[in-house]
Amino acid sequence: MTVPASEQRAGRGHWRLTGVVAAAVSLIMGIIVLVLSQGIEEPQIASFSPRWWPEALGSLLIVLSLLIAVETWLRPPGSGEEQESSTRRGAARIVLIFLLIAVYGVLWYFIDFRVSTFLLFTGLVAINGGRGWKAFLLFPAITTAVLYLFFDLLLKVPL
Amino acid sequence: MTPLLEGFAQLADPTVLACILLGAVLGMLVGAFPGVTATMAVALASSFTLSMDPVPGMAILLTIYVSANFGDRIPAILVNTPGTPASIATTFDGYPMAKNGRAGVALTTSAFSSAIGTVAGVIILMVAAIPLSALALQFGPAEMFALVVFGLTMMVGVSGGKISKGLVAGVFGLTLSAVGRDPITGTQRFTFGIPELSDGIPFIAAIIGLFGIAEVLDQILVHKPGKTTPITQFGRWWPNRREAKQMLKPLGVGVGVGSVVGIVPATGGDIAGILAWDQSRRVSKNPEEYGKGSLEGLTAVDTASNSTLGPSVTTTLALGVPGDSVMAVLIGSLVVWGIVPGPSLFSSRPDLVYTIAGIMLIATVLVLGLSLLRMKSVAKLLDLPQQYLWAVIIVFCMVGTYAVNNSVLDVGIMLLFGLIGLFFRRFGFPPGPVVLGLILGELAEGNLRRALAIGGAGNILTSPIALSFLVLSLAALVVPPLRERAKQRKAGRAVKQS
Repeated sequence: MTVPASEQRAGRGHWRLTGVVAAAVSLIMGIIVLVLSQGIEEPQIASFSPRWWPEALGSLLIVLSLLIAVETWLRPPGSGEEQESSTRRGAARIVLIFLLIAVYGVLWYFIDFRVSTFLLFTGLVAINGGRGWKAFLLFPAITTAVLYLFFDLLLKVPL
Repeated sequence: MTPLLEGFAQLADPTVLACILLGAVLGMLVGAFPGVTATMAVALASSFTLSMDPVPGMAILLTIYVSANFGDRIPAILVNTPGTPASIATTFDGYPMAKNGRAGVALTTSAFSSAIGTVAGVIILMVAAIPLSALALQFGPAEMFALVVFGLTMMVGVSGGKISKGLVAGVFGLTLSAVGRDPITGTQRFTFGIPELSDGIPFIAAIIGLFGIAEVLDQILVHKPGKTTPITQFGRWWPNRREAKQMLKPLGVGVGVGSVVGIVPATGGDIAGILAWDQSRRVSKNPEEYGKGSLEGLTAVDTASNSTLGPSVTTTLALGVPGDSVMAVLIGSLVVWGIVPGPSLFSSRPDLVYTIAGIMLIATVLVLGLSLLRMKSVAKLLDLPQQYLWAVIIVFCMVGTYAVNNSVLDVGIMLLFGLIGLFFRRFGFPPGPVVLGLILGELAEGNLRRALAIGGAGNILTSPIALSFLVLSLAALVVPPLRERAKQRKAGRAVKQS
């Protein structure tokens, strides 16, 4: 089966965009490492400065970012490099999950672990599409109980 | 008492046996759920095993490792979805067999092949670990540095067409390992005044984020409603005499391929399975059946994939370089327990080889028994909606990370690494080299600096062992793209001719 030309173009466009972002991020990481390395104190007596290794790695990241950029420009996408595309709903769910985790962090500080974790489970299941009393009550109750028994009572972790 | 008896004697403790049982059940479940990898499970389990004694803790982690490599075959055969990457090649013939009404025979054959492969690998561990570590004891800083480079480039080299991104991931991991005290002078680096970072990035938090949270976030990001229905018609369960005879040759191929792949640092069951399938097809009398439900293909794949476990543990413990990604995670726990993998480990604790081998053997027998229980109930588990699994993994990752040091900072770092891991996955950077770089960074830097201080670059370039490792490393980076290009050129020529 042949892939339509429009899909091929879209695939190549996505490959290019991914490559450019990857190269840019590698470059930025390399520069950040090099800049931060300058803040490392240097002892008086040392054959090798403690900056030496991070500087070498930062420079390597910059070289590799150029390699990715060149590769993205010259090489067509290889087989097995396609990825399932992300969905808007999925991205929204991830944002909501992190907001929920932030709220959980606050709740855990102020109220009991069991209550806050029960609410966290309920929230996570709801965000990901769970509905009904089993999803909102039974599942959070069982999993919270298991976590509490395991970590607090068995392993003595102060929750 | 001999090391053999001493090693096995440690397993007589009922707590250890209970831990093996717990690990077996957890591992089977982990393997059976697509999306929960053995690496992720061992990372999660590390969070609670750290508070245990080393032997019971190792019993849980190693049994999950063994058991997940049995459980992951179930979804590969019944829903054409590998439970973990190690069972990718199981889908080639396992699923067609199931579609042809032979799911029962496929599951039983897979269980026996996996068990035989694991036992063969454990025998290699018992025979090769101590001599290999004795050999590695001769290594100086130059050789150790070259070995670390070899391990890292092997993992990058098998990243499948992503060599440059794999290298970035590896260098990023090495950079992360530079956080904390300098290994030679003790100077603080990249700690930003946070005292907790003096000991470096919390390793368990980083790997739970990279392998646990990132994987779940990735699944949530691409998830589309829809469901795969598992095959529920199992047919007969036991292979007949003709089929049992057919299994002998692929068993041999599987053990051979798996042992060699397993001993190479950073390569695991996924690669061994695919290689063994190909090799077995070449020597088979019925190559045309491969990919259409061949019992031989299935046997070769599962034997090879599981034969890598023992050799992988051997490389990890004898050389201190992880045999695969699960071993990379295991090293983190071992170090916390005061068991530092590397050439000197087995000269001071030879009994440990046999304790580990014993755990893996008991786990294999136990998991084989569990696998042979008729697995219709496991097929029902595959129907469990994913939102439950995601919720459990996210909360377990958080509470588990907190439990390691009772530190909220660790949880924050874990979540940050979850996002970094998600970015890496979406932009084609393999996460394995990050972990390897993080683990091996200190070893690489310390040994490189020592080697250079002793005799400059000549110290590395005049050592035959170091030079061999460096040449192999270069080959690991250069050969795969060249082969890929040659394949593309060949395919292009074939299209032109037709």
